[in-house]
Amino acid sequence: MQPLLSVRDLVKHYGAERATAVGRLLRRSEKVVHALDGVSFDVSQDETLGVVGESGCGKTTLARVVLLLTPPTSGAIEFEGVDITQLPKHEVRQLRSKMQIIFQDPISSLDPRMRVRDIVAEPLVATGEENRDLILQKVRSILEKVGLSSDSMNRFPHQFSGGQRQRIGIARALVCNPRFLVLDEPTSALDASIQAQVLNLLRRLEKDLRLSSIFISHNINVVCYMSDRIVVMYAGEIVETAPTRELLGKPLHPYTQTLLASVPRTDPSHRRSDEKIVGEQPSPVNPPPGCRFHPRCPYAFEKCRSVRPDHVTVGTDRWAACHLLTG
Amino acid sequence: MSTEVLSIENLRLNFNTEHGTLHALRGVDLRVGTNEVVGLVGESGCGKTVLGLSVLGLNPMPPAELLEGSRILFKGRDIAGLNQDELTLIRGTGVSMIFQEPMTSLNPVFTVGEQIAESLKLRLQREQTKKTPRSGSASVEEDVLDALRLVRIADPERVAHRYPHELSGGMKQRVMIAMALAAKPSLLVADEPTTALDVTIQAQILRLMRDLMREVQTSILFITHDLGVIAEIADRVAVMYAGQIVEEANVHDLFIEPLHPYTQGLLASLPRLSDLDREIEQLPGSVPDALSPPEGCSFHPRCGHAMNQCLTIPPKLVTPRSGHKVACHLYQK
Repeated sequence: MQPLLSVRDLVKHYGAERATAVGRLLRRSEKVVHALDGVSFDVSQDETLGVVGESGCGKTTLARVVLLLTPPTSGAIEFEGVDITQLPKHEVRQLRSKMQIIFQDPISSLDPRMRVRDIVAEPLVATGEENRDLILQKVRSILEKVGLSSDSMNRFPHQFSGGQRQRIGIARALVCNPRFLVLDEPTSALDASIQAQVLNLLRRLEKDLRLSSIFISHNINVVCYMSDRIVVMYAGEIVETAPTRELLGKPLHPYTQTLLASVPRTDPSHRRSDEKIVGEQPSPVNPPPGCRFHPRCPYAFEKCRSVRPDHVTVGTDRWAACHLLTG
Repeated sequence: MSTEVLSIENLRLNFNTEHGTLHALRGVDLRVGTNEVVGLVGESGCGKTVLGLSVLGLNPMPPAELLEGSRILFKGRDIAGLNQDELTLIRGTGVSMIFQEPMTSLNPVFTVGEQIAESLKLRLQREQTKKTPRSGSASVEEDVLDALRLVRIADPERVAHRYPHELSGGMKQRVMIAMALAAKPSLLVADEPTTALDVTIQAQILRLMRDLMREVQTSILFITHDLGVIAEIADRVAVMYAGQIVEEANVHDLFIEPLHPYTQGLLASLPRLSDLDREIEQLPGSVPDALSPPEGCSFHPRCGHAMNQCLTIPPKLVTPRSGHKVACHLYQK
């Protein structure tokens, strides 16, 4: 079956526009941030794809570019078989009702001067819905679905707790019945007990509403709990992708191995003792040549320093970009 | 006991705000032994940071107010009522603190080396009465490099001349630890020291802190919301809820057999890689408002086991098992 979303060779370089036009005019070499460098993946119908990686690896850029909130430098994003990077502006606007996003910070992503009913109704209004009764009815029903009472409609965001605010953000994303959802660190600002409430709510909604989604978080436990399949990002590239259980059972890329080994276990009798991890993620302005992980990789050999590794397919549904796998 | 570095007894602290009295700490008892890492865990607003700041006398008074009978014994001496001059002598040499945000804790207009040198010089001045200080800037410089080497910074000469913004988050936190430990304190209060860091860097810093504790002979009060981090580093754990300690135990006992319904709920709410099939459980409701904490047990509105007495009588800390304390009516005789 054709995937719902198909991303091919997606590149996002910040500062590249200036480097070509204004920069050349001023004869100044501008710094280019390599936020995404050739990222490819698919999301199938009903699937949740998890994205893990550390700060600066390009997770949030990926979220924004896939929804065209920021234009890609190059590459294709096919949604329902149409390359949306080629669509004219007004059609992209219509697309927004099918593709929505939930942000990390429920405080700054809600306008403090708007009432909840207006916040939640905004995507409907923006996509051209004018029937006020229908709008109110939809708002009421989605608020109920996310566990907020209808008397919350006339209140302001500051009158809600963090967990409730995130529910408002979820309601806003779901009010126009999207097929596809991007969740960018949706529970990272929440305490553990509240996070569990929101995660369970999201899992239920994704199932009930048959949503496909990309779930992004730095918290590997949370991503793995929520996702069918995982992509691991490092310095603007995907280094490995696999179904969640296969990835956890046998991580192939040395970075994935490092990342998973670094996750605190919540089990004091199995404390880590032998970390091989050294160094930090490279600067996106000047990423290392060859494999971007080679300066930190315990297995790096000559080839890794100069040749960018290809995607090596392993089994049916997974691949990793590492020279060790080609032997 | 003479092996205790820190002994907090019945610590009660209020903040007097324009909205009313905020009951931040409501009778906290906590001990930290020599060379022990005590983890203090709880959700936002439970009072864990205020407790950490109290140990160094860093809560601004007013609006903060220590209530009668609160005692903070550092090596047997009550430091709860000391004035700022007396506290200054203890801060940095007896007790040091590291914070969550290494970016905002370092001064952006001085190099890392200058900032470490400052803390070293202050320590020397304070110790002058005790012994002759090493003089001359050469020795201070060498001490700065030693401090950076201590936290495993590979090229201390280069890093010492850097400004904070030129360093990564992990490096900044190493510098903070270097500053805190340069004075060889008996107690380090670490408030969410790895929360702002990436997971691979967090693993490096936790490992470093464990190693340094042995080398420098420092006890640590490790404050965090992250039970995973607690499991990695703590010897003993105290769980805080609404300004009180509701459970305290050896780290193994706490994770294997948590007694308090709140601790049980917290542990069940975490997704775990080793058990992805298990549906995570959610605690209903949210943490109570510190302006008007509930009567009786402050957890009762969220507790599945709440009984009549929970609504009115605050539970006392009891010890149903050796070394395992819990404040819950389920265990009161």
